Amino acid sequence: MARMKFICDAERCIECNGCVTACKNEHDVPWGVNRRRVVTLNDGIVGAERSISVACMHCSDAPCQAVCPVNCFYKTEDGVVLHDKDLCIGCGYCFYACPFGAPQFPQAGAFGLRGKMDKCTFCAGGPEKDGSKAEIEKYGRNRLSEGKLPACAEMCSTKALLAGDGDVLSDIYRERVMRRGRGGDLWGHATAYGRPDTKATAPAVQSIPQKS
Amino acid sequence: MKHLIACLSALLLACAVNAQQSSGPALPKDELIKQQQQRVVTQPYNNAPFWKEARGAVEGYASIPAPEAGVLIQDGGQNWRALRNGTFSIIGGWALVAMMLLIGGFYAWKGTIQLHEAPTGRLIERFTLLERMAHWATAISFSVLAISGLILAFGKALLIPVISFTLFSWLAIIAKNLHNFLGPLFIISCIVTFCVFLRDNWPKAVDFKWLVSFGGLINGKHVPSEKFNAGEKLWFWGGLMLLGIVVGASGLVLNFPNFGQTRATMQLANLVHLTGAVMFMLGAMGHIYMGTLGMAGALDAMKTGVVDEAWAKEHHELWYDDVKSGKVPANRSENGGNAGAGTQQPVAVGGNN
Amino acid sequence: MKKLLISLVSLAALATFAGCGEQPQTITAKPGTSAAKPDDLPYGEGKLYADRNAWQLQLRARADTQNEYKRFN
Repeated sequence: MARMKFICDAERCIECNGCVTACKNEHDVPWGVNRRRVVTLNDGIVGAERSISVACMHCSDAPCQAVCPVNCFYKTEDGVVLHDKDLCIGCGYCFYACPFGAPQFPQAGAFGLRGKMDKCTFCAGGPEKDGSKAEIEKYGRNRLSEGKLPACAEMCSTKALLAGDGDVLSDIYRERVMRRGRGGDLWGHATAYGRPDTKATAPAVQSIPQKS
Repeated sequence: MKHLIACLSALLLACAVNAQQSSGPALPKDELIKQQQQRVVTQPYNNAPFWKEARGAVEGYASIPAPEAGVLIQDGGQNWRALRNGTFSIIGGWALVAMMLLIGGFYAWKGTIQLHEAPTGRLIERFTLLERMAHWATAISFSVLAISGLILAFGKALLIPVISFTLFSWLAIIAKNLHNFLGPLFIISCIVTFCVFLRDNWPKAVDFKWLVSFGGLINGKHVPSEKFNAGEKLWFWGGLMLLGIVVGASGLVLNFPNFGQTRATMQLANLVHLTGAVMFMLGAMGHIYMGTLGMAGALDAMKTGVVDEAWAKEHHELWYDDVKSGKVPANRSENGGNAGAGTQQPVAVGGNN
Repeated sequence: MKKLLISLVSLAALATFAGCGEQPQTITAKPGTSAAKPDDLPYGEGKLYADRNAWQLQLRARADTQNEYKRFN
């Protein structure tokens, strides 16, 4: 049985925000709601800076589902965590519980007026009929029912962000890790920001070679 | 009750400590950055220090101008979920059940406490209209808040199996909005009630005697008390004031997300709110019981504002003595207080000579 | 009257027991079911993919295109 997953390769992500744009465009996500975002830690610090694209990670034991007072979350048979906007009351509990900041609200108004929660659907829509107007308006496009994968991953230029069945993704990533640092390595952080000097053993910041 | 409070506050403390632990990385950020820089050289493609840093809710850069958009992982939510869904719901739920059973048992044992002497027919004004209005505004908003809060906290387990999803969602939307809009009103009415009743709730030495024998409720011995007995004063200071501040402040943090407070703050505020609310409800159950079923004449005092002299003598002897000696006017509404306030009912003032 | 009241209160108290404890949150929730309404499955009558197997094969093939080592060699 398939288990849908996202992987983001920190060695490859170049913080182009292509995934963010692809998602926004694909689903016509309203202003202020960001289903996906790119986080850069240690921005500007040579050697320590890494970027990661993050959205709903479709947890196996999803905290949002556990704390939802109206039980509006459900899981598809492929492990995608979806929710029913007709049931959502906009209480914000999923937002407190989620470690990735995935649940988004159209407003953060006084008196807890947040509107209906919106989050990454793994491009699988919601409980409405696939591809129907109601589904597109509430959850965006349903690419999975069209035999496509999430737009963010398919658009990723460095293939840092991968989406799909966990088994397939593991195979891709395993092959990538085995070949990394050898001749065929055309992509990635080391290529863009300098390859480590294989002779250097002394751990010193100054010795990090810049790409000449 | 005391054990419960101790237990809950210990939990809260543990949770606060927990939240603090999870909000910072084990090593200082600079140290992790240095390690990551060395790791690039010694063990390329091994980013363990980077991930250690990411786990500690470190704020990075994101091109999105939303609060906390730059935080990759904030793992306090898992603690919050475990405490809210588990410990707090279990202890809180059971405490409410236990209190209900306790009151039921007490009622079965004692029944409604009746007056020992026949009513004299002479009435003393106990509450002015302003006092009654402040009390009922607080009481009504409290009841709505308690019921809507219970629906949101326990409805998933209790009501969804009965009334199903769609109907419960409607109910929850109503409950949530009532809760959010009545909350600030409750705080305001709490403040008004506090100011109105402050003078008569000032603690005195006699209150200690009352507390030691629990007002003679158990052994049936008579303990004189002022206008408010020590139990009522305890409810005033511990409930209205202390719990009012705790529940009100934590509620405001949750109710106004537009100020950009972080998730860690809101997780903690929610747990404080839950604890305070359960304790508030426990106290209120006792207060409501004594004010309605438990004691004959108590509800009438808050409804009409006047009590019979016999009732005053039996339950609040020192206050009765003050009224008799003229230290406290038997009818404060007419004596300046708030003109025309308590005059809806014919206030028969007798024996005030 | 008093007995009726007591039994009603204790019944209400008993009913609140159900609120204690956390509901199980497992991945084995009935496949393809929503809380309130069933999820529309992405395969079947009138869909692009006739059955689950065909749909899964398509998604696998699609996911495999993300492997550039395969695409380039």
